[in-house]
Amino acid sequence: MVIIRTADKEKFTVDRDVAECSVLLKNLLEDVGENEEEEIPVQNINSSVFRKVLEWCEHHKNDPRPASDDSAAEESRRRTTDISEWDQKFIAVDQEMLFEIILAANYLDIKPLLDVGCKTVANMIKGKTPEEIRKLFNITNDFTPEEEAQIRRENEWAEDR
Amino acid sequence: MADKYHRRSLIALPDDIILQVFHHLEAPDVLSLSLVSCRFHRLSNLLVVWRHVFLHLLHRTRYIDLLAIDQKPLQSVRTDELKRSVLLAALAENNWLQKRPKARAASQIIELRSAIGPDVSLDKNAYITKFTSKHLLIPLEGGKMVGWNLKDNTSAGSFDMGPDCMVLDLALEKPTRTLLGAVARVAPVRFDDSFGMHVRIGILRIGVPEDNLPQDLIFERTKEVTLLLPFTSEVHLLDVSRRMFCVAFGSHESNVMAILVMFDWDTEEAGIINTGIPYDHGRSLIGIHLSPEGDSIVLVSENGGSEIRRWYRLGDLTPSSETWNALAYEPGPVTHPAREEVFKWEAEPSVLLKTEGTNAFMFWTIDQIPEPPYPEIPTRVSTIVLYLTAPAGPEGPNPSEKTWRVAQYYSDKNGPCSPSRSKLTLRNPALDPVEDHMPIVCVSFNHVGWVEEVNEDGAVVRRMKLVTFPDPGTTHDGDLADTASTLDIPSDILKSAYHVLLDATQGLILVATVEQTLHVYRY
Repeated sequence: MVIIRTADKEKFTVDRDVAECSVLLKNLLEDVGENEEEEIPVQNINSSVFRKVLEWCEHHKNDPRPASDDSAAEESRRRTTDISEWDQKFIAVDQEMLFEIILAANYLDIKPLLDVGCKTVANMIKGKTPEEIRKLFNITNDFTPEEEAQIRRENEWAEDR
Repeated sequence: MADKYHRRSLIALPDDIILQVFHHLEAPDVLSLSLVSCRFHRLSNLLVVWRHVFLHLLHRTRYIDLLAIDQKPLQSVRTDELKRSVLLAALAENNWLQKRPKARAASQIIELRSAIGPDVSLDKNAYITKFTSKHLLIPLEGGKMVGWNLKDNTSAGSFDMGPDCMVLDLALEKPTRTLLGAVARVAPVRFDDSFGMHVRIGILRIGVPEDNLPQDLIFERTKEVTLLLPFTSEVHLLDVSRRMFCVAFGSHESNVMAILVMFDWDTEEAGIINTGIPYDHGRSLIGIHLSPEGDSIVLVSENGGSEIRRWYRLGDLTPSSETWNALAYEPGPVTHPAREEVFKWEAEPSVLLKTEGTNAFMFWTIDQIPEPPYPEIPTRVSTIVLYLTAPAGPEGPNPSEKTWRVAQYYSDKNGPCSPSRSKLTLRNPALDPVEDHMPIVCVSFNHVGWVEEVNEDGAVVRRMKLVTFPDPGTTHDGDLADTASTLDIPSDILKSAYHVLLDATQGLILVATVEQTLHVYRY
């Protein structure tokens, strides 16, 4: 068991193999060795998000870990566009939580979870118009009318499909 | 507050994570994102994004041969070139998956008689070829070959092959950006108690001028090889860089399929394979190519619902430079293949298993370019076979009882990628006006199109139908014709169509008509 302290100072006692889903935590744990008393701080993550991330790690702790030099496996993982049923349920959260999970997975270096997050965002974008995407993610249109017209012209032969 | 909000939104993600989101998107969505905001516009125009869309399409065995950038290696391609190339293919593909795809703009019309000469006519028995992003090769009656630049809509040189000449096969020599044609001048000959043909196979090199130069194609006739062949012979270019071609034919009397392999047309050294298999023109063979290692010739045939591949080692053949007379060929001992593999198709309809009344009428094998292959993307081939089922009647088959079917599958060097083939019935096909013997079809790596002719309220109407084959590894239960799209090509134009050409890499369909006009539609 290892103790992990989140940004809002909450302490989590976690199985070592669950924590090791995160490459960052795995490296930190190698540094502290077998000293189980030592708290490991994760500065950028709040307890609510960390709890969610742990839930994912708990479920996936026995998955084969992608070796960092295994680019073929990496490729094939990236190519599959489907998300497993469990992951789909797991990631069915509000947008705020979704982006928190993505940022946490990136910070903790949990590639498969980051992937689930990115695929989910991609699925939200698929088939939508630019205006619908702006609305969905609350993005401001910062083009000048001239710029927008210019890009539309660039894409024109593609737009009138 | 603003900071807190931003942390939890899409725009709070750093560029590298947003790019990872892009990697799961296809071309139309990347275009949509480019119109969302300045930041997304910048990201959506990065080379890495288009490389991913490109690789994704290749993975799904899409045929992007980078024709739009004319065979440039991927490493030296600019973002806008790659983007355009990928978009042309991807958007056409999406368009063609709609029920009623509409062309992107008005059609381009090429009137050959006003452009080239008042007397010219298309060679009705030959096909127009498109071989760069903009060049067409148009065979005319009388053995003339005309180049056409689609972009500038002007002719791009011509070459007189001479009368009685026909193009047997075409292949691209990629390093030199040259198209090579095996061109034959044919004269019938009598040999002993039978007839055959005296064939002079010439090699025609067709060079492409450098980009943006308004020059004509460069035609050059090089080597000529003389052969005596039976009428039912099939000539295939094997490897134009190695100057290799082959001829499949049935031996006189015993009718055993033999393959004459021309090792080098410059030295005229050739060897012969005696397969020991009975030869049935257009049926014994549904593919012939060199192995990826280049040391064997691979013969693909089919029989009763199975695909059979046989590897014959070139090293096992004895080369000789005598004048080849296939008419006098007496098959000796059978050449045994170094390797033989039989692949049994699942879920074949019984009509395609029968050997009575159903024939493989024609086949196409199309490589998935680009070559050389990209890492982790297997080199794949699409095989499309056109079958004719004609029940025998007392006076031959009744044309109205003929059924035309198409079966298609992808394979890589290990053999077929799926356990079963994709199948469809060409419903109500309009037949070729020249000999009335075959439907007007067009194919690409992933598509088959045909002209349909139906009676609607007492009037004859023609429609262009197009089917997209399922991805490798996936199957469509039932008849793929149920999924066919109907394109917006007018019935009147299809009514006078000789041939239809399909170029999926550019979403282009060309209809050549009896009025000697080419109509080009872009999707």
